[in-house]
Order: sequence, then structure tokens, then C-alpha cells
Amino acid sequence: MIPAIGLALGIIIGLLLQPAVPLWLQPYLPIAVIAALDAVFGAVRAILDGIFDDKVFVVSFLSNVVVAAFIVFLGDKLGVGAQLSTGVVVVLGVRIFSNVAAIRRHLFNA
Amino acid sequence: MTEAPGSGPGGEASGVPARRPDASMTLLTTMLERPLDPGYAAAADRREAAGMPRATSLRSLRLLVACLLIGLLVGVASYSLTAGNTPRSKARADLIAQIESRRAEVDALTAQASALQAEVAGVESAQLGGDALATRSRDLSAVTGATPLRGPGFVLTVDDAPESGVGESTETGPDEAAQGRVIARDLQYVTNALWEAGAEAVSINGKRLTSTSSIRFAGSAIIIDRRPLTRPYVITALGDPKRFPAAFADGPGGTYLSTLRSTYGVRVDTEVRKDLTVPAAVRLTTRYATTGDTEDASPSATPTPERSPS
Repeated sequence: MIPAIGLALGIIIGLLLQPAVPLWLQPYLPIAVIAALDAVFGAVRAILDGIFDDKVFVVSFLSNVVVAAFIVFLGDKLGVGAQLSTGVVVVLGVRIFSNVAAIRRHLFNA
Repeated sequence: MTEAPGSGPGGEASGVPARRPDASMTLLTTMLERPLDPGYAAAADRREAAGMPRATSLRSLRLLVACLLIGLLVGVASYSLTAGNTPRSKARADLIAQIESRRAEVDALTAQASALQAEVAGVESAQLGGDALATRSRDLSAVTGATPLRGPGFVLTVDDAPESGVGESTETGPDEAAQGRVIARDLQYVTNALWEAGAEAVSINGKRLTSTSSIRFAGSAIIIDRRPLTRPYVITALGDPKRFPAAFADGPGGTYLSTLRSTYGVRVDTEVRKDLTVPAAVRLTTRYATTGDTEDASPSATPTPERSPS
């Protein structure tokens, strides 16, 4: 319950304050969001599996975002930014999908 | 990302003698089979070994902070990545605002020019009085487009074919979509046919055509005297109500328009009216051509020796 409240509160604050995102940070936003979603779904699955650990969650979220952003940054510098972004999205997307599938099995037994 | 040593794919495979058939695809299989961060399982094992429950409580401060951060990230991203907020759309909005402000400026200056023209005309007629000179001046200014005119005539509305929308041009290819578009040449031809049929004054979308007006193409826009037109193109032509409309319809202009309509689907609508107004032309600059002095006219014939001062 507390994490859900924190999530909702964060979204509301972000939408209300509408902080100006610096231009150099904007390419990383979509990737960061996907990395964060991956961490969130992994955490939900871990909760349902009964092996949740808050420290692992926080560290995995932070490292997911940082590594994804770094890969995109590196790709931009090497001139293959779009391809590397696609790679990151594919990997994280597959993980999100299978985690959601596991969550679905837990919740609906189907 | 936060793998405990020994729990990764390499540690798992070690000690297993039989090679898996898909061993060459370890990257794919680990990605597909082990989507959950192995760190969770490792941490749970550690806690179990220490005699604690496998899962930690959800009531922890750092969990709340992390969730807050994720929510903030999602909120900020959803706000700043929506269509209206990206830098590109901002630049576009800036450009549109600039165009609109400049257009308003042009409109204001045009209105000022028309007012000044009317003033000039008033002063002129007051000075000239009612004699033959004034009549001649009036006739001439009517012909050249210096004064607004009012009288019978007809309104010709020409518009692109219904299916040649601007948005579709990318799908059907420029050539195909352009088939049903009205182009500058159509307007040129129609206005020339109007003059030929005996029009006394012609205006397109409220812009008076004079003997020095130009109808041209700039990209995909039709411009008249360097001002762009937007469809539909409303051509107002004044002329003798008895002869002029019939003369136009029977002449080359009418034939041209009916060909446009039947071949390309261009929409053409003609309406004869008794009382129409045509505004005065805004730009009435006369251009002079002057002959040069004989000396200037043939500078190369007599080169420098004579002119050198010393």
C-alpha cells in the first residue's frame, strides 16, 4: 500500500509542478521510464513470489536507470544511439513482458 | 544488474557436464527464462540463512522514496514528452505565432495603404473639380485598379478536388494528390480568359489584379503579388451583366474550367450577382524603363584612355 501511495504521489507531484526538463536530459527520459517500469514489475513479481527485498529493489531501480541512460549516452556518442536505444527497449521490454506474465500467473492462476 | 557472485548464468552452467543444445544462445535464454533480478533470490536466501523471513516488509522509508522517485519520473516524462511540449513543437508554435503576427502587421499596413489611397483619391477629385480631367482620372483609376469598384458581375469559386487533401499527399504520392489541386497556371488562365471576355475588374480572394499583378507558384502555395492565397479561390469579376458572363462561359475560360472539373474533379462554382465590390489594388508601383545616356549605353566601345584624368 505504501509503495502505491508513493508512486501516485510522485506522479501527481510531477504533473503538478511540471519542472522544466533540460534539453540534454530529454532523450534519456523514455529509456529511464522503461527502466523504472522494469524495476517496478520485477518488484511486484518478487512481492508475489515472497522474496521481496527493498534494498535490492532500490539498487536495481537506480542501476537500471543509470545503465540504460549510460548506454543511450554512449550510443549517441558513437553514432549508434537509435540502435542501442532499440536494444535497451527490446531487452527491458522482454523482461517486463515475462515479469507481467509471472504476475498474471500469480494473480489469476492462468 | 545486481547479481550476487555465483548466481549468474555462468555459475549455474558450471559443473553441468552435458552441453545444452541451445548453449550458443545463452544470452537469449537467460533473458527469456530469468527475467527476475537474481538479486532478489540471493537476498532471500541470505535472509533465510540468517533466520529472518524471506521477504522484507513493504513499510520502509527507502521503498517509499524510491517509489516517489519513480512516480516523479513517470509524471515528468508524461508531461514533457506529450505532443505539445517537445522542443520541436515549441519551435513550430513560435514560427506560427511569428507568421500570424507578421500577417496581422501586413493586414494593418494594407488597411493603412487603402485609407491613404482613399484620401488621395478624395483630395484629387476635390482639386480637379467636375470637369473632363476628373472624369478621365476616374476612368483611368478604375482601369488601373487604383480605386475600389462596385457593380454587377459574377463570383467564381474554384477549389481543390475533394479527395486531394493536404494530409493525404504523403500517402498517395505528390503527383497523384496534386492532380486535383488548383495550380497557379489554372488561375492565370482563368483570369486571362476573364480579361478577354471583357472583365472590367478582377480580384482573387479580395486581392485586386492589375496589369502588373503576378500569379505564381511558391512551393505548393499560389501567391499573388507575393502574398499567399489559401483555398478556396474566390474570383470576383465585374463586367457588363448582359454580355460578360455568357462571353466567359462560351469562351476558352469556360471550356478550361469544365475540363478541370470533369478531368481532375476540381470544384467550380459560378454565381452571377448584381452588386459586387472589388477593392482597390494595394501595390500600384509603376516601373519605368529609361534609356541610358549615349556615353553610358556604350561604355565598352570607348574604353579608358580618354577618361583617364592625368
